Amino acid sequence: MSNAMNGKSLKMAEGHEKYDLIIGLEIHVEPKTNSKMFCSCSADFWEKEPNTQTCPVCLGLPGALPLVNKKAVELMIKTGLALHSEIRRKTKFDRKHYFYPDLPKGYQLSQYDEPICEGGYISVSGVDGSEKQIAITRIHMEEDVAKALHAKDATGEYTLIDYNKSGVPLFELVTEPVINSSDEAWEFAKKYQQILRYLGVSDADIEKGQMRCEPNISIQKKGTWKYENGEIIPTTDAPLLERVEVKNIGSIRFMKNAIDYEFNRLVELAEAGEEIRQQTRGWNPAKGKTEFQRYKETAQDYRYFPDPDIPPLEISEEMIDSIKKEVPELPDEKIWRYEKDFGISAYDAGILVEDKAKAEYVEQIFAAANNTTEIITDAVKFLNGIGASWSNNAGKSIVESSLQPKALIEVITLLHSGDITRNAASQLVEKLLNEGGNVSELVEKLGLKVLNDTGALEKFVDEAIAENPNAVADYKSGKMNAIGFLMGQVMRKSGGSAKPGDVQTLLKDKLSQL
Amino acid sequence: MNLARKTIPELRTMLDSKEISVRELTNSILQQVQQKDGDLKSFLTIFSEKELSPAIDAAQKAIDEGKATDLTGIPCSVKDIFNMVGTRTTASAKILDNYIAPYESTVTSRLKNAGAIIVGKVNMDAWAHGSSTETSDYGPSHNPWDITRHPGGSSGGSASSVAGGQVPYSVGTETAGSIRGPAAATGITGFKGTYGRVSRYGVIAMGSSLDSPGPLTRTVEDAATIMKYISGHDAHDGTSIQESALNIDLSARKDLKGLKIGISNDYFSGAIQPGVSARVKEALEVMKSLGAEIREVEMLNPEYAVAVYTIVCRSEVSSNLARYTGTRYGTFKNDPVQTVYDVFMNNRSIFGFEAKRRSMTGSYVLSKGYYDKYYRKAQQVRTLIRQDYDKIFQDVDVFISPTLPNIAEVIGDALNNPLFGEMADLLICASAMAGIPGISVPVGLTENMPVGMQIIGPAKAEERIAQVAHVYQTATEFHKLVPANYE
Repeated sequence: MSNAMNGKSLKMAEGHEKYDLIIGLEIHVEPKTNSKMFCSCSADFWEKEPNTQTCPVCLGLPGALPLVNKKAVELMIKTGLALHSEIRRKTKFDRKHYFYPDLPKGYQLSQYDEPICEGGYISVSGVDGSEKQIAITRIHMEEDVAKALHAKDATGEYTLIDYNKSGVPLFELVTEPVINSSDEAWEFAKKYQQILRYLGVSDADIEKGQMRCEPNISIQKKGTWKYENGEIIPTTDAPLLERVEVKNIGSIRFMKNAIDYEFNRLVELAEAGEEIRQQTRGWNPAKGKTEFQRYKETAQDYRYFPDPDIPPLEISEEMIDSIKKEVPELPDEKIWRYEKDFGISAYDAGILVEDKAKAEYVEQIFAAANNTTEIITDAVKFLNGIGASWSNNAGKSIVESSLQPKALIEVITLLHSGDITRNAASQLVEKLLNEGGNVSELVEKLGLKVLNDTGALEKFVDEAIAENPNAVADYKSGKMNAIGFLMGQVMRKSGGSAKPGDVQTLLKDKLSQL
Repeated sequence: MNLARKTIPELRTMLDSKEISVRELTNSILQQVQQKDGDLKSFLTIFSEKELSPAIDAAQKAIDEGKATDLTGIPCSVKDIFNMVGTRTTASAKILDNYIAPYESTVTSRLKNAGAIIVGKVNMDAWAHGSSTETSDYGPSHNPWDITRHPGGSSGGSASSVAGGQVPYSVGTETAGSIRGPAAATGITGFKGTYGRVSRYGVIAMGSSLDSPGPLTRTVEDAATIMKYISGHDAHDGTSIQESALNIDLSARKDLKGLKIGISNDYFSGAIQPGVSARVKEALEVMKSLGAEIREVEMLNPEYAVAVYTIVCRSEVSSNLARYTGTRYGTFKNDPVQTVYDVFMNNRSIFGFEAKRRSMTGSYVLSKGYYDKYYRKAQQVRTLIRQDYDKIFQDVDVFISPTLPNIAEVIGDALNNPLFGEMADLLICASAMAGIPGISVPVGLTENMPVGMQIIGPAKAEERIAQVAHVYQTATEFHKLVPANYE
């Protein structure tokens, strides 16, 4: 550990005053296909008996030949369309050569200079809160490698290889180096994950390693650099500071932590006047820090060349058009529409559309409300209020609750017609979330209907006054808040069905006559 | 009587008429194989009668039930480049010495389904790198016409097993000349289809954009028959032509009237041995007398094709050999290794010199900064070569030249030439790079060694070139010549 790290730390905020943080992301995602990228073996390798889902192709046996998984290509096109990318009409697969025991052919099938998707963006909230489009360089297809298990026992150290993962399709998304905070990086990855789930392209399940993030991080002194034509270039005579790549981070939160950690580390090195060398690091979640892996000063030569086993792939207009039809309305579009049509705040709308199942549920509620703004406004209050706390307590999505979209609208309609009180409505929604049921039956059973019968109310008021002479005396002696107690008594007698306003008026009236 | 000298239809008649049983025929062939292999060294693996019994019985049953195909019950050899389930498959490379294939190549699967009896797997240049079998890690095969000479390559074991009268036919593979070359060097017929005509699935890859399996036979008729069973679209091979199997009708052409033959002077002069040129020119005279018209055409110098081939093929070779890292394939000697690097080094040191040389060249031309200079440029010239053929095939129906520049050399003579293999393929490289079909037929002897003539046609014109070759063969007897010591 350098002296700089032991010395006085600059506070993160101070670091940001002096240095810019420049981040480019590489995100690997495993799309949801039944079979592997180039053979018909099952792609679902999670927790399967090792080496039970293999064939000559994914084992890289001599003479075996790859066949392109069309479904994976379609899913990538769908993703590209959702992210505003250009879809290449002609694409190809290339061999990327390197040597590692988990790479059975000695090369990985990937895409070099003709990726399926080029360009595109995902919008995030910038530092000043305004919308910022993070430019995507490309998304290309590749195959995953096998899994190497390094072990040690009495006989010595050894490595076991499980080829179930070998040949599973992977999307590699690469952004331009235009991300300037760990929050932006976090939001980009979150939104990418959300979009993939909306599209049904991938579960992007972090636990199962279906999404892996690799930030490229550098800091540069303010005013010493600019971003031009996809590159960070110096604007002064001083050379730029080298970048650090943190490999294979298995969670979006860890990626954010890694970026924050690296920012501080790099700032401290720079402040101490120490050299920053281009390097690859790994994230150690247990220690909460990045760890040095290797220097990366010379680019590895992968000797890319077009795979002669796979003819170039033509992507037709018809194919793109038909895939376009399968792209659903995405979260950002929904948020924008909800804001425009129903005046729902972006914050509230964001909660409603956080996942596709919930968004569909919300759409059903909106449909049941006949898209009436007043009803929807209240529906959103219930969903993001009682609904959200129910979800938190139950640890489940509201979609999994017993609350039927129509039932919620029935409750709100009763509320708006004055048949039940807001209090009663909340009580009903709570009940419906837990148990479901028929709204009018519940209202009846729980006696929640507003007491419109003046005679009955008068009876409760008279009783309350008769039963609580002390409170009445307090009120008469000027302790006006004694009326609150009396109101409570009346409400209790009415089983909550009395309107508080009516009760108060009648109570005051009766008390003044005493 | 050596039954291995019979043609497929002759053996078909014998089997169908019950003149001989499949078992008798197989045993007779196995006897020829054993008897001659001490000299010829064609085979790397010879199956026993016992191992072949299920196939023999199945073939006999098919014949008895009248369900025989053209190939049912007829023995053959296949190049040791085809994966066959449960069988050692080496590509003549020691690093695969103990590799038992767990799956079946499409070609051998189709042969087996047709009832063929594959009696053994034959020698080749290691990884198919060469034109003589001299790079085989198991030593060279020998030419039955003169056993001090090689039989051509890389499908040299296929050629020596057929020309030497060990088996009636063999199936090999060609990247650039590896079927046609050895066929010419041993006086038999070799047929290479359009790239993609015969599936590469299960064929240990050499130059993936060129590799084409095909038959080596006594006659054009036999070659066409085998093509019928091994060709046709294969869903396991993404580069396979999407057409059903070739069904070549040789009877449709009786003479060569109206046929326009293109020839180019570059293919008859320079490095071409005079005796070779002379035999092919005589054959052209025969074809003229059968009605063909000979036209001189302008062609790119064949040496460009050799340069392009060398770059493209060695690039692919370096990549295709990358999987033999020394961890999964190799000998794994019993002596305890110290580190994982010992394992790599022990196993990778088994690679032969030629494999190392080609991997090095290939890695170099694919490396950063050189890719554009070599590989990309080579692919551009490859396009020009294709266009060159497109152009001449507007004027002529077929293109004819000697198959090899010279007769088979004495073993050891060619090894000092770093481009050996490629120079032997001088006259073949261009058509191989263009992916178009070619067939080589014997046209007589010079210095008591066979000379081959190749007939090249446009893409997918296998039927045309086979018909022309068949008409020539019907009018001549050269394909019936047999080396004196190996009748």
